[in-house]
Amino acid sequence: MSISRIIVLSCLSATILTTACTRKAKLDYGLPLNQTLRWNIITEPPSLDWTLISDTTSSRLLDAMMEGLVRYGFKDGNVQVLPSLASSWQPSKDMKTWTFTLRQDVKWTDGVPFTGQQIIDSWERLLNPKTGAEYSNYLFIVKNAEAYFDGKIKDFNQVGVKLNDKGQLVVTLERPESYFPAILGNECTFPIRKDIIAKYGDQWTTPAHMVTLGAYKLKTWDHDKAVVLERNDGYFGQKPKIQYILGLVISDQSTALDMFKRNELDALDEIPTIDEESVRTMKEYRQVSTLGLYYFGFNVKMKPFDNVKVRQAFAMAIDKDEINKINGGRELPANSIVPPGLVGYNANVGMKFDPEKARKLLDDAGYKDRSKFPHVTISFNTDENHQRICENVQAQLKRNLGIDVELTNEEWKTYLKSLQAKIYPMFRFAWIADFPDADTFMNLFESNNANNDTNWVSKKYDSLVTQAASELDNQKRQQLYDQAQKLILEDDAVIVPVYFYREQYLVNSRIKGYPLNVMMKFYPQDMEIVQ
Amino acid sequence: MSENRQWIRQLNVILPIGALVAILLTAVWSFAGYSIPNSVIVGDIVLVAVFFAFHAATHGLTNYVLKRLLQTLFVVWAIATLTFFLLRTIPGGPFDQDKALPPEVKAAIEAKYDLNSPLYKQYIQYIEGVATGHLGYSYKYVGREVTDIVASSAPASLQLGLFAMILAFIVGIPAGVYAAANHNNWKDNITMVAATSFISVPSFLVAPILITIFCFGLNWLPVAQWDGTSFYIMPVIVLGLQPAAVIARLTRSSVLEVIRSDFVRTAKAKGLKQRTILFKHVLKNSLIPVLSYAGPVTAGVLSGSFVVEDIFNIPGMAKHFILSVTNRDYPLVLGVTLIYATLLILANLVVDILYTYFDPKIKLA
Repeated sequence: MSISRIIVLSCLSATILTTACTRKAKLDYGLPLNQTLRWNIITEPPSLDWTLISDTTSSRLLDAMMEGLVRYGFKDGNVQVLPSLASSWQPSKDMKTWTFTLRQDVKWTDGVPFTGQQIIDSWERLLNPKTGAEYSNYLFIVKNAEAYFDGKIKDFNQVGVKLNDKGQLVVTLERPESYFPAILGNECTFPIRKDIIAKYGDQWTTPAHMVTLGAYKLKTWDHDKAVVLERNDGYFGQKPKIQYILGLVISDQSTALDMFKRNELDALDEIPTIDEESVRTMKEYRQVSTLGLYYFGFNVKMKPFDNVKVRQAFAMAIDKDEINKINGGRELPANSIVPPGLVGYNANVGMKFDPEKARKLLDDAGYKDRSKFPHVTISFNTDENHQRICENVQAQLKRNLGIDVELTNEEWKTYLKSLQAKIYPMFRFAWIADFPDADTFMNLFESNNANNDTNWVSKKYDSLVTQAASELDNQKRQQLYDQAQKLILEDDAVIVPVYFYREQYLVNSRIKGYPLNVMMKFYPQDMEIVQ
Repeated sequence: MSENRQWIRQLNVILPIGALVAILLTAVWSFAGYSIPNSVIVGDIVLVAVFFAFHAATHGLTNYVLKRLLQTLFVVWAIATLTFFLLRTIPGGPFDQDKALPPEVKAAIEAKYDLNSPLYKQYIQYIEGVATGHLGYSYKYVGREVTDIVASSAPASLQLGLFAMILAFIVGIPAGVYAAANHNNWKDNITMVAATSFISVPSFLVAPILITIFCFGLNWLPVAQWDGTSFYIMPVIVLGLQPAAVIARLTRSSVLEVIRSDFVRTAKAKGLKQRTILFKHVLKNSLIPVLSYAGPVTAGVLSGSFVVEDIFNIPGMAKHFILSVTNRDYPLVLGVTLIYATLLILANLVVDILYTYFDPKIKLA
């Protein structure tokens, strides 16, 4: 083939390409920088259907786009439950019936008014087993909700949620629950538009079809790349000051940090562990406590932890301050189960670090001769942070009790399977609050809770936690939780709280009012861009 | 008859060059930041397919190719079957999570995805789906079909892989020829030391070094994203460097072997220029080992690199190879496995056919 033919062929192809190709759209989506928050959302949202979600990314995006009956306030380090779609609520004397008065001036982004029926539709969808929602059991406290889910009741009218003649939403519960409104800030309870879902099926959360009623609305969802939110000018609450939120999907934290340093991002919600120390000196660094507990649990049916003295000895031999130090001092060492900011928090409850007493307890348990102490493993899911913590605990137990423990780790889902099979004698775990109340932590260790991996059964504990859940008087609730925590942490030493989480953020100084709070709620109304 | 033969010979030259030029131009345009319409991509694929079909038809390979394609179907089915059952043996299911679900809730979710029906039924349903091009719905990304997930993430990976392989050939082959032509002197040594270094240094090390120099030091390039020419440069270098180095080493040793052949001695005796001998006569005969290597590597590179895509935040499909397994997203695992398997098998078939193109002595049966 001659050179001239090749040239002719190339020119021909080039001409075809030139006419056929267009310049690619840019990843800033043409948004004005002075009106846009550029934020790393870390992962592709698995879904924006709030009945089905169970992950942080989707939840934070929906915080900006949706509202529930209530929302949370975060003044003075405490969490308040504030009105949102419900303007007020009233419990019955026995705490089993709650009446919510609904706002009448709320409209969805397509102009359709908000109604109480949309809340009922949402709860029906959540409780319908065909929906397959991971949070289906979230509303089992509502009368007959579980029976409806199980198919024992076919008629949803028999479930304890109704509208009365005044248009108020009346919710009847299975048992008294003093904090019931607090659980309604979770997305799975938010109203839905059944007509939209029926019309578009799975595709109803695409930008062309999705309707919301929050401060922002979905403008673009470019899978694996970005989500763009636009201010909803018809929003009934405090109008946001920033017009657009550009959520970029950047999974590698180091990459996100590099982009932040180059002023290509305004906010990071996660910081790579390796960079934590250097980042702390940056003026953009922010830190906030969250409602999350990191702990070690014992399987009380496995040797040697079937002996309460061994458990107590372990609990007293672990210095949480030391763990916090090797963790770079980023967390808040914990003794109790309930974190600060909630009724039930008590800094004085739980085992204190006392190696001498720990050694004596182990002697009393029959292990004066440490060489006779059984082979013990501490299990964790594969992760460098957990590894570092568990290695420290291993060293502390050697130093303070003179015993050798082995560490084992497994990949996350395998670990969860093993945890549920209750095959670990000692394991690490963590719990992040679904709603801002002590009960989300305390009911975890109730005898029949699916997340109680300790094999520990205590009717007394169950009773105290149930009583506390129905108690409206905070002082009495505190006393009940104190008793329950003393029982599980000191008398029976079933778990060892290690620390309460603190989340770390980087926020560009051009952004004011970035939402930092204990619930990690992304309420964007207070944000503004200062040039 | 002779006219026909000439015509066939001409087409045998025009078609591959045409396909190559089309692919290269598409790559250049894409690298320049233009979005390439599907029609152009389909056109490229058709050109390549026409070349292979024509080559196969005129070289008596039709039966061989058809046999291999039938084998491909069998292999893909075997891989799908094996992956389907192996996945179910991994502990932990798609809906195991830190907040343990009550058994009845888990059962309801599993029922929604048909995970509660007998395994053989799930298998038959899955194979039927694969046969009709329906790979099922992801468990993780609610309401999204696996084909949709792959379709939206594959272009970036294919783009990156194509650029990287072009770089690997453009750099690797001349470097290998250059080293061979300067056999055993310092130019050869430097080229081979560089090649060995690039083979040994992992991409997760090269990438941060490049970022430090070109983003934070010189401020020439953006840190990450996949948004145009300046964004493509670093990931392509990081991904293409290693295959380039391997190709350089393979080319060098192969050229050194061919250069000692009788026909090269004859060419030299005839007084042909060194460059002409190297690039016209030696190189064509030296490409067989490079092709053997390039086939599977191209399949691997085109299906994405987790490290490179992660560091440079490229919205490709490599992450699905890892995350779909950790999420136990069975349909997605199966989808990406099948795509990789198909790419690998086709790449090997292409390489086998190319053997006969570059060395007519090779017979396939």
